[in-house]
Amino acid sequence: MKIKMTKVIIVGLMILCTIPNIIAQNRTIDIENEEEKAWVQLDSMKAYLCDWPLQCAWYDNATFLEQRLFEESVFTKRVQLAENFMDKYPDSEHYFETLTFYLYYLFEPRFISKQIPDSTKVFLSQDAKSAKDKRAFKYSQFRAIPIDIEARVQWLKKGRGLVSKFLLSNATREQKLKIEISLLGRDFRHARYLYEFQNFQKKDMESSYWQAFSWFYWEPFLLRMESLLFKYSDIEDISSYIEQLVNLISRKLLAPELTKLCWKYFFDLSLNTEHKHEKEIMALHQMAKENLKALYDLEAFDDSKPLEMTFTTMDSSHIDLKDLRGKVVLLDFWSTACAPCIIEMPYVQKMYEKYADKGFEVIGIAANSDSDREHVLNIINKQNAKWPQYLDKGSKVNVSYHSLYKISSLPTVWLLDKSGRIVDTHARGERLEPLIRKYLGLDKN
Amino acid sequence: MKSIIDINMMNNKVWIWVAWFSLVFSMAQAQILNPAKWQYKVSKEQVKINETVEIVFQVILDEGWHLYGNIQNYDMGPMPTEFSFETQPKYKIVGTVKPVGAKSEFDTVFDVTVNYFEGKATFSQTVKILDSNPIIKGTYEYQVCHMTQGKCILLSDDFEIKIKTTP
Repeated sequence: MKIKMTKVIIVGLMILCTIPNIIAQNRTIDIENEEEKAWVQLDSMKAYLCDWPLQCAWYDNATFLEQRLFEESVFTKRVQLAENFMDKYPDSEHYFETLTFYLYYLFEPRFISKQIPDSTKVFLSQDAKSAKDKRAFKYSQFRAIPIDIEARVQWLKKGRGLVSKFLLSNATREQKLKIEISLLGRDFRHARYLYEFQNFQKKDMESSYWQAFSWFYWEPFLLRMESLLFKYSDIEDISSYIEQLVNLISRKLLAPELTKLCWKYFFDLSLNTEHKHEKEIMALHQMAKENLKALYDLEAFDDSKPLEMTFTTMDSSHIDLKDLRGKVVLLDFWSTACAPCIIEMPYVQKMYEKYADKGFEVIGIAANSDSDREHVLNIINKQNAKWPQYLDKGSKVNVSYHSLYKISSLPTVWLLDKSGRIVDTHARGERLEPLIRKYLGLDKN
Repeated sequence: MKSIIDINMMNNKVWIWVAWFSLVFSMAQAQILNPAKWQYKVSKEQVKINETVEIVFQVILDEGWHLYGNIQNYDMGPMPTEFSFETQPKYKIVGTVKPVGAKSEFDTVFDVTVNYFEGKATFSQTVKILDSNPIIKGTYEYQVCHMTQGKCILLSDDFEIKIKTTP
């Protein structure tokens, strides 16, 4: 009996001694699990928008206001997850990634006010489809969303604070650059929303005003980029960030009028600095130089000036648009993969026959290569399209007109008036004949 | 135990917007103007090395827009959707991309039968995982056409899919 008791006690003691160990082990595992769990949740939520398929279908058909409020709840949730994670696990190996998430557009609530006046609600529930100018209507809806500006400013400040703290940490310089770029990107996006939603109508006559306006608006971002360039000039990629920024600023809906100014800015900067022999600065200089050169080539595309193009067509005749001044010319950008382009051909042929002797010309510019020659011939024979055709992706072509003019939607149909200026870029279907008559001057009384 | 349940529940709902890492400056609004929204899903949350997973691309198409299958039986016709995957030591692409649920129709413009998608499109690719936590990268190029509006748009995008492996 006694022996048994001792055994029980010893076993009991052994168990008792190991319990704290087990608890301790469990706890560390738990902490890692908690952190890992929080991370997995954050990582999967970062791009999750809706439950597939029902909620997503609802979202697709919801009103403008419902969609924005739904996004708001998702985005707010993401921000909370990221903030909680960074608060709780400042030493986590995922901290850096979480901070980049936090500065990304998927973690960007609009801070829509809790109180929305009924009249605004009505406006925000309207469908842009019935509006005359859908884009303009959508922008005016975006502008009408009431914003809790104080909450937004707080959030902007919090992001900046987290970045400053991160820059003092012992993270790598690559990581610090990435974070600083992300912060710049966040602020850029906000500036871009504000600018784009205003939907500026820039008239030709006011071009220098808009250049000055846009420069003043966007220059702070170039300056911030400049200081990052010199701070991190030893790190690869910094020049590609600059390229991204300039490309975005000069997008069609933002400030295309600044493209040249921006590149000239970085061209001069990289030429006149004492750091000009550093690898990244040299890369930037080369980039700015090539972009400026391409821009000079694009000058011909200024549609207030006559269009210039020269090429040799499939039947080996040489075409120079300069020789066609005095005629109304239709440039048909198409490809053999584009059924709507092909369907249109017989009608264009009819117009071509009807108005050719009055000075109407058609030229086809196909986004096809030499190997598609047979296909192109088959199509134009079948459709009885008799006008000259040019293979825009042929072996002798360096830069195709489709890529030079960034034509990705086909067909794109440009109509040139007698002076060679582009007067219409959608001269198709029912619109075509009245336009031909107008620019040939046939409708004058 | 609970955490695993949570993760699995999440997995059912998570569709990830493609191209999420492509640009620091990218915008949520950009989606509005594109008639095709791309998302992807990975068939398993837990993957072991030497196992295979399915990468599923799901495209939501705006009303009236057609997207064309990657497998077509013609020389000339609408541009088929094209996928290209980066070759990397951490994973291996098995077979080709499989289109799921394509319709086919005789196209009178090209006189050929065309495989196309309407409303939504699904593509699936089997990938064998050879090393821990691979990132599957590649691009897709596609054409979408709207027959009544009479236009086609050429588009392309990059994708980056992170796979988490378990030992």
